[in-house]
Amino acid sequence: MATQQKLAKLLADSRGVAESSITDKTTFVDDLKLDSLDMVDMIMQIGDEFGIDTDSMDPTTIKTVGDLTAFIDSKK
Amino acid sequence: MIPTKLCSLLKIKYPIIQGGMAWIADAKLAAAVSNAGGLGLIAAMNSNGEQLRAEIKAIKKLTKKPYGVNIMLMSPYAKEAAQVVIEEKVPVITTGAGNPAIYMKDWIAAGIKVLPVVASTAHARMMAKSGATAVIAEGSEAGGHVGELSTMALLPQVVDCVDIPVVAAGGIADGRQAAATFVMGAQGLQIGTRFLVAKECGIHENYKKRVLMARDIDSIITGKRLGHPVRSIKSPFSRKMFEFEYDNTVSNEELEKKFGGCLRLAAVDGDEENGCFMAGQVAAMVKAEQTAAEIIKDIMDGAEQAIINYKL
Repeated sequence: MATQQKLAKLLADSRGVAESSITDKTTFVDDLKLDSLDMVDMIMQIGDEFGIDTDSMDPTTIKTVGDLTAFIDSKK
Repeated sequence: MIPTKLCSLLKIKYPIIQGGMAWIADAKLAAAVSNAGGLGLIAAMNSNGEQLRAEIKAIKKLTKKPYGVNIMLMSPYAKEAAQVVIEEKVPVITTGAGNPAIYMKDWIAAGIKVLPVVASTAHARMMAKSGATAVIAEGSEAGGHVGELSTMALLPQVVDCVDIPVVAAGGIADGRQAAATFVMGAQGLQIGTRFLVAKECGIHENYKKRVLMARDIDSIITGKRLGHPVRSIKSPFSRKMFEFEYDNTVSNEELEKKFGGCLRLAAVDGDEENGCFMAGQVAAMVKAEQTAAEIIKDIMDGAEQAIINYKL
């Protein structure tokens, strides 16, 4: 499964929104309404699900699903 | 005596950490708690590096026992504070209001024990992965800035998800509550509200009076609209703020401004009209001004008795 598709499914499941509503432009704060604890939760989930090290992930620079997809692919 | 891993890790006699309360947790209170066998904390709050250094030098004169500094990560001086604690060889750091991951490597390399306050299992796992010595699982019964989950719900979940010791915080004022957290897997307690009325606590008498007079129904949360809810004792200020939160004509910026400096007004000036008297839900259980040593003994003796007396 492509990274963005898998990511969209994870976010859709955890946020209770339609997978089809998540695009690379979807933002975590304004669109998905993630708060700081949600962001931490997401970072840990990404690490588990994609088997990558998320220590260097800076939530202040990763604002959209597209940004996160690029980060995950760079760590694979 | 209830020996826990936390005692051996932090080299303290009793597994009690005093909360790092801003405008309250100074060298005098922290030293009294450390001298009594617990772990006293100085609140770095919004102090700049040199102000914090002065407070650390003050505690070094007052105790030879381990002590710690609470670093509030939202402070504009957090980076300075993070460096000062290394230079001053502070033995223990607790952190609040954010994610300390960027400082963890340097602190750990300096031999500092790091105990971040966490409000979720993911945060606890992240901190354990970053090398934390222990985590402090703080439930929403606590005073000051709070999360959503109660200690009863949060603590066992955090205990189950990390392999490092967990300290319980929020909703603990006596031995029965302490015993309950030990049964749920806590290796230590963080106590804030009870130390507000410690004889060595230098807050204004009006603040102590508010705590000693609090009823069980006097606890209120304000600031939810701004995304950083705060628990305090009902007062003219908190009632006013509660109303403002539901008033659409008050912008978030105005609301933020109205909160500014309210804890200082309570703790330093004792301003009963405009001060925010932060305290946990257990404030009503705090009945007397006692020394830090008496408070620690009361809680630990009470916990032992609660465990011995337990019968279904």
